[in-house]
Amino acid sequence: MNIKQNPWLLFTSLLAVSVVVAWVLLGLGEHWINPFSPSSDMESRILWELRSPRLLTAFAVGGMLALAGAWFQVLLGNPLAEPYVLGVAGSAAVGAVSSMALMPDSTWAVSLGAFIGAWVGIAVVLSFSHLGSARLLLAGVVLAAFWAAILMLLIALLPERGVVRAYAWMMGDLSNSVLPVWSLILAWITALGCGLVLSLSLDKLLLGEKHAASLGVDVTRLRKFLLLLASAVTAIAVTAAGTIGFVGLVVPHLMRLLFGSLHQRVLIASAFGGGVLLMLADTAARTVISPAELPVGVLTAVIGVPVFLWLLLRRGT
Amino acid sequence: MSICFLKRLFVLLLCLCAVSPAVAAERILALAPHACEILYAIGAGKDVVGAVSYCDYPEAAKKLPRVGAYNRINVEAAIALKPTMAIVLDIKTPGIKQLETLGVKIIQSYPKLVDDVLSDIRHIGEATRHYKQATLLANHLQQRLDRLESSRTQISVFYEVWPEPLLTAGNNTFIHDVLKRIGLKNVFGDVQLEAPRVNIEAVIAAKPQIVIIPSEKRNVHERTLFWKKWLGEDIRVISVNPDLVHRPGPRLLDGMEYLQQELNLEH
Repeated sequence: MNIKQNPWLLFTSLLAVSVVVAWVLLGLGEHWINPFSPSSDMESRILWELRSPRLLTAFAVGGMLALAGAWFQVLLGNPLAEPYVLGVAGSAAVGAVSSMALMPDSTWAVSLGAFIGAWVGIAVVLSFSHLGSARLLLAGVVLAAFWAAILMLLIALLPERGVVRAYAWMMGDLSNSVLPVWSLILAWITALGCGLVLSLSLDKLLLGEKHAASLGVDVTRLRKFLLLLASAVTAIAVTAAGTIGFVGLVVPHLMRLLFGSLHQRVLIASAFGGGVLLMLADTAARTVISPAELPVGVLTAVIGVPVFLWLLLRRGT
Repeated sequence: MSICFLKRLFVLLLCLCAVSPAVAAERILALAPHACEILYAIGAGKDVVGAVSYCDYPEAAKKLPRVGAYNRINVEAAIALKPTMAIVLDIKTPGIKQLETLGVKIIQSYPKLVDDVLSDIRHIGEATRHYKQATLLANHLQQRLDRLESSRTQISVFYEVWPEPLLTAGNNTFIHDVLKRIGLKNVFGDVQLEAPRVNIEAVIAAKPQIVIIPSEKRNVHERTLFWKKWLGEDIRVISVNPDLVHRPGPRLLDGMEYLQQELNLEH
Protein backbone atom coordinates (compact mmCIF):
# COMPACT_ATOMS: atom_id res chain seq x y z
CA MET A 1 0.00 0.00 0.00
CA ASN A 2 1.35 3.39 -0.96
CA ILE A 3 1.83 5.83 1.89
CA LYS A 4 0.92 8.72 -0.43
CA GLN A 5 -2.46 7.22 -1.23
CA ASN A 6 -3.69 6.42 2.24
CA PRO A 7 -4.01 9.30 4.71
CA TRP A 8 -4.45 7.00 7.69
CA LEU A 9 -1.27 5.15 6.90
CA LEU A 10 0.49 8.50 6.49
CA PHE A 11 -0.90 9.71 9.81
CA THR A 12 0.08 6.61 11.77
CA SER A 13 3.55 6.31 10.28
CA LEU A 14 4.31 10.02 10.91
CA LEU A 15 2.96 9.68 14.44
CA ALA A 16 5.26 6.72 15.00
CA VAL A 17 8.27 8.60 13.60
CA SER A 18 7.48 11.60 15.81
CA VAL A 19 7.18 9.47 18.93
CA VAL A 20 10.49 7.74 18.23
CA VAL A 21 12.27 11.05 17.54
CA ALA A 22 10.76 12.62 20.68
CA TRP A 23 11.82 9.64 22.77
CA VAL A 24 15.42 9.87 21.57
CA LEU A 25 15.53 13.66 22.02
CA LEU A 26 14.13 13.28 25.53
CA GLY A 27 17.35 11.56 26.52
CA LEU A 28 19.56 14.36 25.17
CA GLY A 29 20.55 17.30 27.32
CA GLU A 30 23.26 18.33 29.71
CA HIS A 31 23.76 14.59 30.35
CA TRP A 32 22.31 11.62 28.50
CA ILE A 33 19.46 10.20 30.55
CA ASN A 34 17.89 6.94 29.48
CA PRO A 35 14.16 7.74 29.31
CA PHE A 36 13.32 4.12 30.19
CA SER A 37 15.30 4.07 33.40
CA PRO A 38 16.32 7.38 34.98
CA SER A 39 18.90 6.53 37.63
CA SER A 40 17.82 9.01 40.29
CA ASP A 41 14.89 11.04 41.46
CA MET A 42 16.48 14.24 40.09
CA GLU A 43 17.00 12.59 36.70
CA SER A 44 13.37 11.61 36.42
CA ARG A 45 12.33 15.13 37.46
CA ILE A 46 14.60 16.55 34.75
CA LEU A 47 13.01 14.19 32.23
CA TRP A 48 9.37 14.78 33.10
CA GLU A 49 9.34 18.32 34.48
CA LEU A 50 11.97 20.04 32.32
CA ARG A 51 12.58 18.17 29.09
CA SER A 52 9.24 16.63 28.16
CA PRO A 53 7.06 19.77 28.55
CA ARG A 54 9.55 21.67 26.45
CA LEU A 55 9.68 18.98 23.76
CA LEU A 56 5.91 18.75 23.56
CA THR A 57 5.62 22.54 23.42
CA ALA A 58 8.15 22.54 20.57
CA PHE A 59 6.20 19.83 18.75
CA ALA A 60 2.83 21.59 19.07
CA VAL A 61 4.21 25.04 18.22
CA GLY A 62 6.20 23.75 15.24
CA GLY A 63 3.22 21.81 13.92
CA MET A 64 0.87 24.76 14.28
CA LEU A 65 3.29 27.14 12.58
CA ALA A 66 3.66 24.74 9.65
CA LEU A 67 -0.11 24.34 9.35
CA ALA A 68 -0.65 28.10 9.47
CA GLY A 69 2.07 28.50 6.84
CA ALA A 70 0.37 26.01 4.52
CA TRP A 71 -2.96 27.82 4.94
CA PHE A 72 -1.52 31.27 4.31
CA GLN A 73 0.24 30.00 1.18
CA VAL A 74 -3.01 28.82 -0.37
CA LEU A 75 -5.09 31.71 1.00
CA LEU A 76 -2.79 34.35 -0.45
CA GLY A 77 -1.87 32.25 -3.49
CA ASN A 78 1.76 33.04 -2.80
CA PRO A 79 4.55 30.54 -2.11
CA LEU A 80 6.41 33.10 -0.02
CA ALA A 81 3.58 33.48 2.48
CA GLU A 82 4.21 32.36 6.06
CA PRO A 83 2.36 32.71 9.37
CA TYR A 84 3.89 36.09 10.18
CA VAL A 85 3.33 37.66 6.76
CA LEU A 86 0.21 39.57 7.75
CA GLY A 87 1.84 41.19 10.76
CA VAL A 88 0.36 38.97 13.47
CA ALA A 89 3.81 38.26 14.87
CA GLY A 90 4.66 41.95 14.76
CA SER A 91 1.61 43.00 16.74
CA ALA A 92 2.18 40.11 19.17
CA ALA A 93 5.76 41.28 19.68
CA VAL A 94 4.51 44.82 20.32
CA GLY A 95 2.13 43.41 22.94
CA ALA A 96 4.83 41.26 24.55
CA VAL A 97 7.44 44.01 24.68
CA SER A 98 4.95 46.56 26.03
CA SER A 99 4.09 44.26 28.89
CA MET A 100 7.81 43.70 29.53
CA ALA A 101 8.12 47.45 29.91
CA LEU A 102 5.01 47.85 32.07
CA MET A 103 5.36 44.78 34.29
CA PRO A 104 9.03 43.81 34.24
CA ASP A 105 8.90 41.20 37.00
CA SER A 106 5.90 39.25 35.79
CA THR A 107 6.23 36.05 33.77
CA TRP A 108 2.69 35.59 32.53
CA ALA A 109 2.21 39.25 31.54
CA VAL A 110 4.48 38.76 28.52
CA SER A 111 2.35 35.92 27.18
CA LEU A 112 -0.85 37.79 27.90
CA GLY A 113 0.57 40.85 26.12
CA ALA A 114 1.58 38.72 23.14
CA PHE A 115 -1.86 37.13 22.97
CA ILE A 116 -3.71 40.45 23.13
CA GLY A 117 -1.26 41.95 20.63
CA ALA A 118 -1.77 39.05 18.24
CA TRP A 119 -5.55 39.44 18.35
CA VAL A 120 -5.35 43.20 17.80
CA GLY A 121 -3.25 42.39 14.74
CA ILE A 122 -5.77 39.79 13.58
CA ALA A 123 -8.69 42.21 14.04
CA VAL A 124 -6.95 44.75 11.85
CA VAL A 125 -6.14 42.14 9.20
CA LEU A 126 -9.70 40.77 9.22
CA SER A 127 -11.06 44.16 8.25
CA PHE A 128 -9.12 43.71 4.99
CA SER A 129 -10.34 40.16 4.40
CA HIS A 130 -12.78 41.18 1.64
CA LEU A 131 -9.86 42.35 -0.53
CA GLY A 132 -8.29 40.01 -3.07
CA SER A 133 -5.17 37.98 -2.30
CA ALA A 134 -2.70 40.50 -3.70
CA ARG A 135 -4.21 43.44 -1.84
CA LEU A 136 -4.57 41.46 1.38
CA LEU A 137 -0.91 40.53 1.12
CA LEU A 138 0.06 44.16 0.51
CA ALA A 139 -2.00 45.31 3.48
CA GLY A 140 -0.33 42.63 5.60
CA VAL A 141 3.18 43.62 4.55
CA VAL A 142 2.47 47.28 5.30
CA LEU A 143 0.96 46.38 8.67
CA ALA A 144 3.99 44.24 9.47
CA ALA A 145 6.21 47.23 8.72
CA PHE A 146 4.05 49.40 10.97
CA TRP A 147 4.30 46.95 13.89
CA ALA A 148 8.03 46.64 13.31
CA ALA A 149 8.36 50.41 13.62
CA ILE A 150 6.39 50.47 16.88
CA LEU A 151 8.55 47.62 18.12
CA MET A 152 11.74 49.57 17.34
CA LEU A 153 10.34 52.53 19.22
CA LEU A 154 9.58 50.38 22.28
CA ILE A 155 13.02 48.78 22.19
CA ALA A 156 14.70 52.17 21.92
CA LEU A 157 12.86 53.21 25.08
CA LEU A 158 13.48 50.02 27.07
CA PRO A 159 16.36 49.83 29.54
CA GLU A 160 19.25 47.62 28.48
CA ARG A 161 18.24 44.50 30.41
CA GLY A 162 14.73 44.77 29.00
CA VAL A 163 16.24 44.76 25.52
CA VAL A 164 17.97 41.42 26.20
CA ARG A 165 14.64 39.97 27.19
CA ALA A 166 12.82 41.46 24.21
CA TYR A 167 15.37 40.04 21.77
CA ALA A 168 15.23 36.63 23.44
CA TRP A 169 11.47 36.64 22.99
CA MET A 170 11.73 37.71 19.36
CA MET A 171 14.20 34.94 18.54
CA GLY A 172 11.86 32.33 19.97
CA ASP A 173 11.98 30.84 23.43
CA LEU A 174 10.41 27.52 24.30
CA SER A 175 11.70 27.40 27.87
CA ASN A 176 9.21 29.82 29.41
CA SER A 177 5.84 28.92 27.95
CA VAL A 178 3.05 29.75 30.39
CA LEU A 179 0.47 27.88 28.33
CA PRO A 180 0.05 24.36 29.71
CA VAL A 181 1.31 21.62 27.43
CA TRP A 182 -2.04 19.83 27.17
CA SER A 183 -3.70 23.00 25.88
CA LEU A 184 -1.09 23.30 23.13
CA ILE A 185 -1.48 19.68 22.11
CA LEU A 186 -5.25 20.17 22.09
CA ALA A 187 -4.83 23.26 19.89
CA TRP A 188 -2.58 21.25 17.57
CA ILE A 189 -5.21 18.47 17.24
CA THR A 190 -8.02 20.99 16.67
CA ALA A 191 -5.97 22.85 14.06
CA LEU A 192 -5.15 19.67 12.17
CA GLY A 193 -8.80 18.53 12.40
CA CYS A 194 -10.10 21.83 10.98
CA GLY A 195 -7.47 21.67 8.27
CA LEU A 196 -8.47 18.18 7.21
CA VAL A 197 -12.15 19.09 7.06
CA LEU A 198 -11.23 21.96 4.74
CA SER A 199 -8.66 20.09 2.70
CA LEU A 200 -10.86 19.34 -0.30
CA SER A 201 -12.01 22.98 -0.57
CA LEU A 202 -8.39 24.08 -0.28
CA ASP A 203 -7.43 21.85 -3.19
CA LYS A 204 -10.16 23.52 -5.24
CA LEU A 205 -9.04 26.99 -4.14
CA LEU A 206 -5.58 26.12 -5.39
CA LEU A 207 -7.03 25.98 -8.91
CA GLY A 208 -8.05 29.62 -8.67
CA GLU A 209 -11.05 31.36 -7.12
CA LYS A 210 -13.25 31.14 -10.22
CA HIS A 211 -12.66 27.43 -10.65
CA ALA A 212 -13.26 26.87 -6.95
CA ALA A 213 -16.54 28.78 -7.10
CA SER A 214 -17.68 26.79 -10.11
CA LEU A 215 -16.89 23.61 -8.18
CA GLY A 216 -19.29 24.65 -5.45
CA VAL A 217 -16.99 26.35 -2.94
CA ASP A 218 -18.26 29.45 -1.15
CA VAL A 219 -14.99 31.25 -1.76
CA THR A 220 -15.70 34.37 0.31
CA ARG A 221 -16.69 32.41 3.38
CA LEU A 222 -13.85 29.94 2.97
CA ARG A 223 -11.29 32.73 2.70
CA LYS A 224 -12.64 34.52 5.74
CA PHE A 225 -12.69 31.36 7.82
CA LEU A 226 -9.24 30.34 6.65
CA LEU A 227 -7.83 33.76 7.52
CA LEU A 228 -9.33 33.57 11.00
CA LEU A 229 -8.19 29.98 11.55
CA ALA A 230 -4.63 30.53 10.37
CA SER A 231 -4.31 33.74 12.37
CA ALA A 232 -5.70 32.17 15.54
CA VAL A 233 -3.31 29.23 15.29
CA THR A 234 -0.42 31.65 14.72
CA ALA A 235 -1.53 33.67 17.76
CA ILE A 236 -1.43 30.58 19.98
CA ALA A 237 2.00 29.56 18.69
CA VAL A 238 3.40 33.05 19.18
CA THR A 239 1.95 33.31 22.68
CA ALA A 240 3.60 30.05 23.66
CA ALA A 241 7.03 30.55 22.18
CA GLY A 242 7.63 34.01 20.75
CA THR A 243 8.44 34.39 17.07
CA ILE A 244 10.16 31.39 15.54
CA GLY A 245 10.88 31.97 11.90
CA PHE A 246 11.29 29.63 8.97
CA VAL A 247 9.23 26.63 10.15
CA GLY A 248 6.00 28.07 8.78
CA LEU A 249 7.56 29.04 5.45
CA VAL A 250 9.54 25.98 4.54
CA VAL A 251 7.91 22.95 6.14
CA PRO A 252 4.77 23.09 3.93
CA HIS A 253 6.93 23.34 0.80
CA LEU A 254 9.12 20.54 2.05
CA MET A 255 6.07 18.36 2.57
CA ARG A 256 4.71 19.21 -0.89
CA LEU A 257 8.02 18.12 -2.38
CA LEU A 258 7.86 14.87 -0.45
CA PHE A 259 4.18 13.98 -0.60
CA GLY A 260 2.65 15.96 -3.49
CA SER A 261 0.38 18.96 -3.23
CA LEU A 262 -2.99 17.52 -2.21
CA HIS A 263 -3.90 19.31 1.01
CA GLN A 264 -4.94 16.28 2.97
CA ARG A 265 -1.39 14.93 2.83
CA VAL A 266 0.32 18.32 2.98
CA LEU A 267 -1.53 19.27 6.16
CA ILE A 268 -0.99 15.94 7.95
CA ALA A 269 2.67 15.92 6.97
CA SER A 270 3.18 19.59 7.89
CA ALA A 271 1.61 19.19 11.33
CA PHE A 272 4.08 16.39 12.12
CA GLY A 273 7.01 17.70 10.08
CA GLY A 274 6.92 21.16 11.66
CA GLY A 275 6.72 19.57 15.08
CA VAL A 276 9.66 17.26 14.48
CA LEU A 277 11.78 20.04 12.96
CA LEU A 278 11.17 22.32 15.94
CA MET A 279 11.88 19.51 18.41
CA LEU A 280 15.20 18.85 16.66
CA ALA A 281 16.04 22.56 16.49
CA ASP A 282 15.22 23.16 20.14
CA THR A 283 17.23 20.16 21.31
CA ALA A 284 20.16 21.43 19.26
CA ALA A 285 19.66 24.90 20.78
CA ARG A 286 19.90 23.38 24.25
CA THR A 287 22.91 21.19 23.58
CA VAL A 288 25.34 22.40 20.88
CA ILE A 289 27.17 25.03 22.95
CA SER A 290 26.20 23.57 26.32
CA PRO A 291 26.14 24.77 29.08
CA ALA A 292 25.14 27.92 27.19
CA GLU A 293 22.01 27.94 25.06
CA LEU A 294 21.28 29.31 21.57
CA PRO A 295 18.09 31.00 20.36
CA VAL A 296 15.94 28.33 18.72
CA GLY A 297 15.02 30.57 15.76
CA VAL A 298 18.63 30.44 14.57
CA LEU A 299 18.63 26.66 14.48
CA THR A 300 15.35 26.16 12.63
CA ALA A 301 16.96 27.99 9.72
CA VAL A 302 20.35 26.31 10.04
CA ILE A 303 18.78 22.85 10.03
CA GLY A 304 15.95 23.56 7.59
CA VAL A 305 17.64 25.53 4.81
CA PRO A 306 20.15 22.90 3.65
CA VAL A 307 17.52 20.15 3.69
CA PHE A 308 15.13 22.31 1.69
CA LEU A 309 17.72 23.41 -0.88
CA TRP A 310 18.90 19.84 -1.34
CA LEU A 311 15.34 18.67 -2.00
CA LEU A 312 14.75 21.56 -4.45
CA LEU A 313 17.87 20.61 -6.41
CA ARG A 314 17.04 16.93 -6.39
CA ARG A 315 13.52 17.54 -7.69
CA GLY A 316 14.73 20.14 -10.18
CA THR A 317 16.73 17.71 -12.30
CA MET B 1 61.36 98.39 21.33
CA SER B 2 58.73 96.49 19.40
CA ILE B 3 60.70 93.29 19.94
CA CYS B 4 60.76 93.94 23.65
CA PHE B 5 57.01 94.55 23.60
CA LEU B 6 56.40 91.35 21.69
CA LYS B 7 58.54 89.45 24.17
CA ARG B 8 56.52 90.79 27.06
CA LEU B 9 53.28 90.02 25.29
CA PHE B 10 54.51 86.47 24.64
CA VAL B 11 55.43 85.96 28.29
CA LEU B 12 52.05 87.34 29.33
CA LEU B 13 50.26 84.98 26.95
CA LEU B 14 52.31 82.05 28.25
CA CYS B 15 51.34 82.95 31.81
CA LEU B 16 47.69 83.19 30.82
CA CYS B 17 47.84 79.83 29.15
CA ALA B 18 49.39 78.24 32.18
CA VAL B 19 47.08 79.92 34.66
CA SER B 20 43.69 79.99 32.99
CA PRO B 21 42.87 76.23 33.03
CA ALA B 22 43.72 76.10 36.71
CA VAL B 23 41.38 78.97 37.42
CA ALA B 24 38.35 78.03 35.32
CA ALA B 25 36.62 74.93 36.67
CA GLU B 26 35.93 72.06 34.28
CA ARG B 27 32.37 71.48 33.18
CA ILE B 28 32.06 67.71 33.28
CA LEU B 29 29.56 65.34 31.67
CA ALA B 30 29.21 62.06 33.55
CA LEU B 31 28.16 59.73 30.72
CA ALA B 32 27.95 56.52 32.76
CA PRO B 33 26.34 55.81 36.15
CA HIS B 34 29.59 54.61 37.75
CA ALA B 35 31.48 57.67 36.45
CA CYS B 36 28.87 59.89 38.07
CA GLU B 37 29.33 58.16 41.42
CA ILE B 38 33.11 58.40 41.19
CA LEU B 39 32.97 62.14 40.41
CA TYR B 40 30.82 62.84 43.45
CA ALA B 41 32.93 60.58 45.66
CA ILE B 42 36.15 62.43 44.78
CA GLY B 43 34.60 65.85 45.39
CA ALA B 44 34.16 66.80 41.72
CA GLY B 45 30.37 66.72 42.05
CA LYS B 46 30.02 70.49 41.80
CA ASP B 47 31.72 70.43 38.39
CA VAL B 48 29.31 67.89 36.92
CA VAL B 49 26.90 69.64 34.56
CA GLY B 50 25.12 66.70 32.93
CA ALA B 51 24.51 63.00 33.29
CA VAL B 52 22.76 60.05 31.61
CA SER B 53 19.97 57.65 32.58
CA TYR B 54 20.51 55.65 35.78
CA CYS B 55 22.90 58.25 37.23
CA ASP B 56 20.94 58.01 40.47
CA TYR B 57 23.56 58.16 43.19
CA PRO B 58 24.20 60.26 45.26
CA GLU B 59 20.91 62.12 45.68
CA ALA B 60 22.36 65.29 44.06
CA ALA B 61 23.01 63.39 40.83
CA LYS B 62 19.29 62.81 40.32
CA LYS B 63 18.79 66.52 39.67
CA LEU B 64 21.36 66.73 36.86
CA PRO B 65 20.15 67.38 33.32
CA ARG B 66 20.12 64.17 31.23
CA VAL B 67 21.77 63.86 27.82
CA GLY B 68 20.63 60.36 26.85
CA ALA B 69 21.79 56.94 28.01
CA TYR B 70 25.34 55.66 28.44
CA ASN B 71 25.11 53.91 25.06
CA ARG B 72 23.11 56.58 23.25
CA ILE B 73 24.31 60.15 23.73
CA ASN B 74 22.26 63.10 22.51
CA VAL B 75 25.12 65.24 21.22
CA GLU B 76 23.10 68.45 20.88
CA ALA B 77 21.75 68.23 24.42
CA ALA B 78 25.26 67.47 25.65
CA ILE B 79 26.85 70.41 23.82
CA ALA B 80 24.13 72.78 25.06
CA LEU B 81 25.53 72.27 28.56
CA LYS B 82 28.89 73.71 27.35
CA PRO B 83 30.98 70.85 28.70
CA THR B 84 34.77 70.88 28.70
CA MET B 85 35.20 67.26 29.66
CA ALA B 86 33.23 64.01 29.44
CA ILE B 87 33.80 60.76 31.32
CA VAL B 88 32.54 57.97 29.06
CA LEU B 89 32.21 54.21 29.36
CA ASP B 90 33.31 53.45 25.84
CA ILE B 91 34.86 55.91 23.38
CA LYS B 92 33.32 53.92 20.52
CA THR B 93 29.81 54.92 21.62
CA PRO B 94 28.06 56.90 18.84
CA GLY B 95 28.34 60.64 19.43
CA ILE B 96 31.52 60.55 21.50
CA LYS B 97 33.70 61.21 18.45
CA GLN B 98 31.55 64.26 17.67
CA LEU B 99 31.90 65.58 21.21
CA GLU B 100 35.65 65.25 20.86
CA THR B 101 35.73 67.19 17.57
CA LEU B 102 33.68 69.90 19.24
CA GLY B 103 36.48 70.34 21.74
CA VAL B 104 35.30 68.26 24.68
CA LYS B 105 38.07 66.35 26.42
CA ILE B 106 37.11 62.67 26.50
CA ILE B 107 38.18 60.36 29.31
CA GLN B 108 37.33 56.69 29.12
CA SER B 109 36.51 54.63 32.18
CA TYR B 110 35.55 51.08 31.32
CA PRO B 111 36.52 48.93 34.31
CA LYS B 112 36.63 45.24 33.39
CA LEU B 113 38.10 44.05 36.68
CA VAL B 114 37.81 45.11 40.30
CA ASP B 115 41.34 46.56 40.23
CA ASP B 116 40.40 48.75 37.26
CA VAL B 117 37.85 50.54 39.43
CA LEU B 118 40.61 51.76 41.74
CA SER B 119 42.93 52.79 38.93
CA ASP B 120 40.07 54.55 37.15
CA ILE B 121 39.25 56.50 40.31
CA ARG B 122 42.88 57.70 40.39
CA HIS B 123 42.82 58.46 36.66
CA ILE B 124 39.58 60.45 36.85
CA GLY B 125 40.95 62.27 39.92
CA GLU B 126 44.03 63.26 37.97
CA ALA B 127 42.08 64.43 34.94
CA THR B 128 39.63 66.50 36.97
CA ARG B 129 42.34 67.83 39.31
CA HIS B 130 40.91 66.16 42.38
CA TYR B 131 43.88 63.88 42.65
CA LYS B 132 44.26 64.14 46.40
CA GLN B 133 40.74 63.05 47.27
CA ALA B 134 40.79 60.42 44.54
CA THR B 135 44.00 58.93 45.93
CA LEU B 136 42.57 58.91 49.45
CA LEU B 137 39.42 57.18 48.23
CA ALA B 138 41.34 54.66 46.14
CA ASN B 139 43.70 53.84 49.00
CA HIS B 140 40.79 53.39 51.38
CA LEU B 141 39.01 51.10 48.94
CA GLN B 142 42.25 49.18 48.41
CA GLN B 143 42.54 48.57 52.17
CA ARG B 144 38.96 47.28 52.30
CA LEU B 145 39.63 45.13 49.27
CA ASP B 146 42.72 43.64 50.90
CA ARG B 147 40.69 42.72 53.96
CA LEU B 148 38.30 40.57 51.91
CA GLU B 149 39.02 36.89 52.30
CA SER B 150 39.69 35.90 48.75
CA SER B 151 41.74 32.91 49.84
CA ARG B 152 38.95 30.95 51.44
CA THR B 153 38.03 27.51 50.16
CA GLN B 154 36.26 28.02 46.88
CA ILE B 155 32.50 27.97 47.30
CA SER B 156 30.72 27.45 43.99
CA VAL B 157 28.09 30.00 43.08
CA PHE B 158 25.53 30.55 40.35
CA TYR B 159 24.94 34.21 39.60
CA GLU B 160 21.49 34.82 38.12
CA VAL B 161 22.00 37.90 35.96
CA TRP B 162 18.50 37.58 34.54
CA PRO B 163 15.78 34.98 35.21
CA GLU B 164 13.93 34.81 31.88
CA PRO B 165 15.80 34.03 29.74
CA LEU B 166 18.14 32.59 32.33
CA LEU B 167 21.37 34.56 31.91
CA THR B 168 24.55 34.36 33.95
CA ALA B 169 28.03 35.89 33.87
CA GLY B 170 30.75 34.16 31.86
CA ASN B 171 34.51 34.38 31.85
CA ASN B 172 36.29 37.77 31.77
CA THR B 173 33.30 39.66 33.07
CA PHE B 174 33.25 42.17 35.86
CA ILE B 175 30.84 40.05 37.91
CA HIS B 176 33.09 37.01 37.50
CA ASP B 177 35.99 39.01 38.96
CA VAL B 178 33.88 40.36 41.82
CA LEU B 179 32.90 36.79 42.76
CA LYS B 180 36.50 35.61 42.52
CA ARG B 181 37.70 38.38 44.81
CA ILE B 182 35.40 37.32 47.61
CA GLY B 183 36.42 33.70 47.33
CA LEU B 184 33.55 32.42 45.25
CA LYS B 185 33.82 30.16 42.22
CA ASN B 186 31.50 31.13 39.39
CA VAL B 187 30.15 27.77 38.11
CA PHE B 188 29.98 29.14 34.56
CA GLY B 189 33.33 30.92 34.86
CA ASP B 190 34.82 28.92 32.00
CA VAL B 191 32.17 29.88 29.44
CA GLN B 192 33.76 32.29 26.98
CA LEU B 193 30.70 34.49 26.59
CA GLU B 194 29.80 37.70 28.34
CA ALA B 195 26.25 36.88 29.33
CA PRO B 196 25.63 33.25 28.38
CA ARG B 197 22.07 32.04 28.32
CA VAL B 198 21.98 28.78 30.24
CA ASN B 199 19.57 25.94 30.71
CA ILE B 200 18.23 25.02 34.17
CA GLU B 201 19.62 21.54 33.58
CA ALA B 202 23.10 22.99 33.19
CA VAL B 203 22.73 24.79 36.53
CA ILE B 204 21.58 21.58 38.22
CA ALA B 205 24.54 19.71 36.73
CA ALA B 206 26.98 22.43 37.88
CA LYS B 207 25.87 21.88 41.49
CA PRO B 208 26.32 25.40 42.89
CA GLN B 209 26.32 25.76 46.69
CA ILE B 210 24.99 29.30 46.55
CA VAL B 211 22.74 31.26 44.19
CA ILE B 212 23.10 35.03 44.07
CA ILE B 213 20.10 37.00 42.78
CA PRO B 214 20.28 40.72 42.05
CA SER B 215 17.16 42.19 43.63
CA GLU B 216 16.37 44.34 40.60
CA LYS B 217 13.10 43.91 38.73
CA ARG B 218 12.26 40.41 39.83
CA ASN B 219 10.33 38.61 42.48
CA VAL B 220 13.12 37.46 44.79
CA HIS B 221 10.81 35.26 46.85
CA GLU B 222 9.56 33.46 43.75
CA ARG B 223 13.08 32.94 42.45
CA THR B 224 14.21 31.62 45.85
CA LEU B 225 11.43 29.03 45.84
CA PHE B 226 12.31 28.15 42.27
CA TRP B 227 15.95 27.43 43.09
CA LYS B 228 15.06 25.54 46.24
CA LYS B 229 12.85 23.35 44.09
CA TRP B 230 15.62 22.48 41.64
CA LEU B 231 18.80 22.68 43.71
CA GLY B 232 17.47 21.25 46.96
CA GLU B 233 15.99 22.76 50.09
CA ASP B 234 19.40 23.50 51.59
CA ILE B 235 20.56 25.76 48.72
CA ARG B 236 21.60 29.18 49.97
CA VAL B 237 20.01 32.05 48.02
CA ILE B 238 21.43 35.53 48.57
CA SER B 239 19.86 38.62 47.07
CA VAL B 240 21.95 41.72 46.54
CA ASN B 241 21.40 45.25 45.26
CA PRO B 242 22.78 45.10 41.71
CA ASP B 243 23.95 48.73 41.83
CA LEU B 244 26.47 47.69 44.47
CA VAL B 245 27.83 44.73 42.54
CA HIS B 246 27.38 45.40 38.82
CA ARG B 247 28.29 49.07 38.91
CA PRO B 248 32.03 49.53 38.92
CA GLY B 249 31.95 52.59 41.16
CA PRO B 250 32.99 53.55 44.70
CA ARG B 251 30.13 51.61 46.30
CA LEU B 252 31.45 48.33 44.90
CA LEU B 253 33.20 47.49 48.16
CA ASP B 254 29.90 47.95 50.03
CA GLY B 255 28.42 45.26 47.82
CA MET B 256 31.40 42.93 48.12
CA GLU B 257 31.52 43.32 51.90
CA TYR B 258 27.78 42.70 52.08
CA LEU B 259 28.14 39.46 50.11
CA GLN B 260 31.05 38.31 52.24
CA GLN B 261 29.12 39.10 55.40
CA GLU B 262 26.15 37.10 54.13
CA LEU B 263 28.47 34.18 53.38
CA ASN B 264 30.04 34.35 56.83
CA LEU B 265 26.65 34.13 58.50
CA GLU B 266 26.62 30.51 57.48
CA HIS B 267 30.24 29.47 57.68
